[in-house]
Amino acid sequence: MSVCAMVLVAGCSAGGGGDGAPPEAADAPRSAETPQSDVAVADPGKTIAQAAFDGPKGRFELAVVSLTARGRLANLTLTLTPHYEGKESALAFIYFGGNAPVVSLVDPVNLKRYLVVKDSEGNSLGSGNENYNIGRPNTLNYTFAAPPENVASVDVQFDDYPPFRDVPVSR
Amino acid sequence: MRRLAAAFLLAAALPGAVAAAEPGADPSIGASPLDLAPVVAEILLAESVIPLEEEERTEAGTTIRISSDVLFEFDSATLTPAAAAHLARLAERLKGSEVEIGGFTDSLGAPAYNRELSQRRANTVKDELARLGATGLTARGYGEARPVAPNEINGKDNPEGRAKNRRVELVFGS
Repeated sequence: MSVCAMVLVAGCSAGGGGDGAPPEAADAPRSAETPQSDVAVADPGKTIAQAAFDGPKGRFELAVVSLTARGRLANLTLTLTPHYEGKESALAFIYFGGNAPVVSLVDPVNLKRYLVVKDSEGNSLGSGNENYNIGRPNTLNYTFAAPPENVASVDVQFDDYPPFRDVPVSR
Repeated sequence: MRRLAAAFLLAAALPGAVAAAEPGADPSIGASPLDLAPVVAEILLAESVIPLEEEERTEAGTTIRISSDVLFEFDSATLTPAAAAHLARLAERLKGSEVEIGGFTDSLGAPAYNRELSQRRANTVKDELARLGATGLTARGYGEARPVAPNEINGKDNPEGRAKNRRVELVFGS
C-alpha cells in the first residue's frame, strides 16, 4: 500500500482553517439541543482533518467530519470519497480488497485503543459493508466508548492507512 | 367486513394475545408461541477498550508490551511525542536492569522489510532509553515472527490481531 498524501489536521492549526477547513468546523462546541440527525448527515465541506490515499481499487479521499462524546458514547463521522475507474458504486469489502475498513480511536497518552462498540446481539454500531457511491462523498458513522473527560484529542485510525493525529474530541 | 377479517387473521396468528385480551378467556389456552417481549440489546462498552501497554510477570522476569501504533509514526521508526514522554517514565524503572528490547510487526508487507523496520524501531527505543540513563540494553528486530495474536482467522484478515502484533517488548529481570 502506498501512501500519497499528508494527513492534515486542520483543527490544530493556530489560524484555524489554514488547511482548507473552515475555522468553525474543527472543535466548535455543540449545544445540548443538537439533534442526533446532525451527525447522520455529514457536510463534507466541514472537516476537521482530511487526507487522500491510494487504495486497492483507486485513490480515495477521507475526511473526519466530527468526533463528539455524549454521555458514555462517542460518535465519529467520516466522509469517504472513493474513486474506481468505470464503476458507479462498489461494496466496501470489494473496494478495500476483501474487508470492510476497520476504524478505531487511539489515545496515545493513556495507551488505550477504542474499538467500535458492539451490542449484546453481536451487532457492530458502525458502518460496515456499505455500498459506496463512487466519486461522491459517503458518510460513515462509528460509535465508541467515550474517552475520559481529560482526553482532549485522540488519533483516528482508518484501516491500515496513516492515522489522523490529535483529532479533538468535542463534548 | 375488513375489520372482521383482520380480527380473524390476528386470532389465528396470535391465539394467546387474543385470549389475554378477552375477559374470562379459557386460561388453559397456551401463551403465544411468539415472543412478543421487546428486545433491548445492551451496549458492551468494556470490551471495546483495549490497553496498548501490557505487563506480564513470570519467574523469568517481566515483559512490557507497548503497541507500535502509539510509539512510532506510521511506517517509521520515529518516536511520537507521546512515546518519548512514556519512555522517559519507563527509563527510571529500568535503570540497573539488563533489558532486552524486541521489535515486532504484523504480517502485512514483505518479511525482509518488516524485519528491517522492527530492528530500526528496537534500536530507536534502545537509543532513547540509553539517552535517558538506562544501561545494559540490547535490541533486536523480529519482524512478523513470534506473533501474540493471529494475523488471520480462517484465512481472513484479523485487524485486531495484527494490531496486537505491532509492538515493542521490553524484557527485564525484575
